[in-house]
Amino acid sequence: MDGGGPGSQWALTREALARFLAGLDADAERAGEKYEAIRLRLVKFFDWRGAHHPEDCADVTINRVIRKLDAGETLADLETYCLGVARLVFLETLKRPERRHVPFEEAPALAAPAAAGDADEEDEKRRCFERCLRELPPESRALVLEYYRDERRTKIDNRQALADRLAIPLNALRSRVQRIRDRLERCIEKCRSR
Amino acid sequence: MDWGAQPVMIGTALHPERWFARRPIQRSEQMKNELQENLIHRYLLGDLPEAEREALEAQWFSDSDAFERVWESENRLVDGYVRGRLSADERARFESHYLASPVHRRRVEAARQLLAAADAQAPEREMSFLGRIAAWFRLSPIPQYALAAGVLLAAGAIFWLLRERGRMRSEHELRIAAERIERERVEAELDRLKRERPPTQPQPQPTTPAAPTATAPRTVFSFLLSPTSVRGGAGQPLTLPAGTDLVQLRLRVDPGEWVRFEAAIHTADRAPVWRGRNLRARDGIVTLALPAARLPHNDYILTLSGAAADGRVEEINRYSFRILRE
Repeated sequence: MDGGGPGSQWALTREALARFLAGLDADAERAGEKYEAIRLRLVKFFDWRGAHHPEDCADVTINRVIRKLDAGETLADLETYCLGVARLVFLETLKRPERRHVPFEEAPALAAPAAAGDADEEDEKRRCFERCLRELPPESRALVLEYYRDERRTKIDNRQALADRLAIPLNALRSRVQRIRDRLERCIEKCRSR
Repeated sequence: MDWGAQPVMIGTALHPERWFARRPIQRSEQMKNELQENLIHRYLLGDLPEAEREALEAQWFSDSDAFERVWESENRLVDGYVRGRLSADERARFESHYLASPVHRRRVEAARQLLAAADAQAPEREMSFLGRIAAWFRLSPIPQYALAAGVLLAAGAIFWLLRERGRMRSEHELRIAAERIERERVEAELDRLKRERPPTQPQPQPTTPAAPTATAPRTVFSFLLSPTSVRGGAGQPLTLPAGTDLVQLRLRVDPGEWVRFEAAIHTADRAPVWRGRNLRARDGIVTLALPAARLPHNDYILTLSGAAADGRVEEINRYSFRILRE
């Protein structure tokens, strides 16, 4: 997929990106934070819609919005505009051949315990998970493991107790843990693709 | 924006105009949360009409709190699937829609490992005495004289460990004795029932090989199973001595809302072995008894489901175990 739009030869430049960031916020630091937030939401938009390459789709969306600005258009609400472009990009992904429905039966490893023939793959998954868990900072590792411990089994409100101990609201704890979990997932994905 | 304070739809199909209605409906916080969670799950499972999906997206895209909530709901949905806690409808929808994405399939795999690792962690309050000492040493600068004190402490810890070991051994013996008493009680109860059974008309004799006589002693072995990650390697080993007639599997449960339980045993390669319905929990334990002959040397998975008063059945836990024959 062409980042600047179908059939275009446009390439992202430093000036075009600077214009986009300035449109997000006059302060460079805050603009950077807003950029990260918008990109994460775009990734999740494509992810929750079931796109096969959410990160690529998010980058294509941002490139198209930057291109619009680069062409001299004035966009009053960049965030809403990004969402509109993301919808179009998603519709384009639906036309691609790799986006076919995969029946559950084609992913038996999820439905059933691993068969003996899958032993190598299982070992690799376990190695990647353990490695990525080890790579987390110790306090993040402890936090994510404690947060996801089965509360029904321990009969303790782990999460509230954790938030109290860290002296942060439950919402802040939730947000922190989601990002650690996201980091862990990305690390596992990278490890398995090597 | 406080998402929890947003108006929610009660009892009718969601419509964007209603979703953004100005007049909030007075409902309990918990009900609001459940409705929002349900709506988000429908969104993630591709079960919302396009207009409603877009309305929800417009909301979470511009509101960081709403975004975090959808993200958390997704994690809860994935964790619910991994722990076998989704309803049958949700599970079917999850498998047909959510798992169609390779990104989601990898996420479920990662969740399975993360939850297994989290459940395997001992709660902090159960950290051993030695563990606390080790943690103290890791975190503190150690002056030379503290080492001497450490040696004394270690000696004390060894003494404590030996005493603990002795205590655990006696506890183990007590548990074995309690199980023996329980077994004898069950056998006595069986004998009593046989004696009290009114004489019946002679029945046609089966043509199958003769069953053990009613007076033959029965050997029962009882095991307490712990829920484990099915994918976390070999299951809990259970050794059955030769001559065992009956195997009793005891599962600790939180009765909660469940009025009865169902259990199904499959081999690790999913061949059905045994199924029990209408099981009851007694003192937080569900007990299954099945003929030992049904459990040859193999790896098994036991799935325990709970049935609520309204007829809803949900999987509660899975147990994996390996039968070893002496």
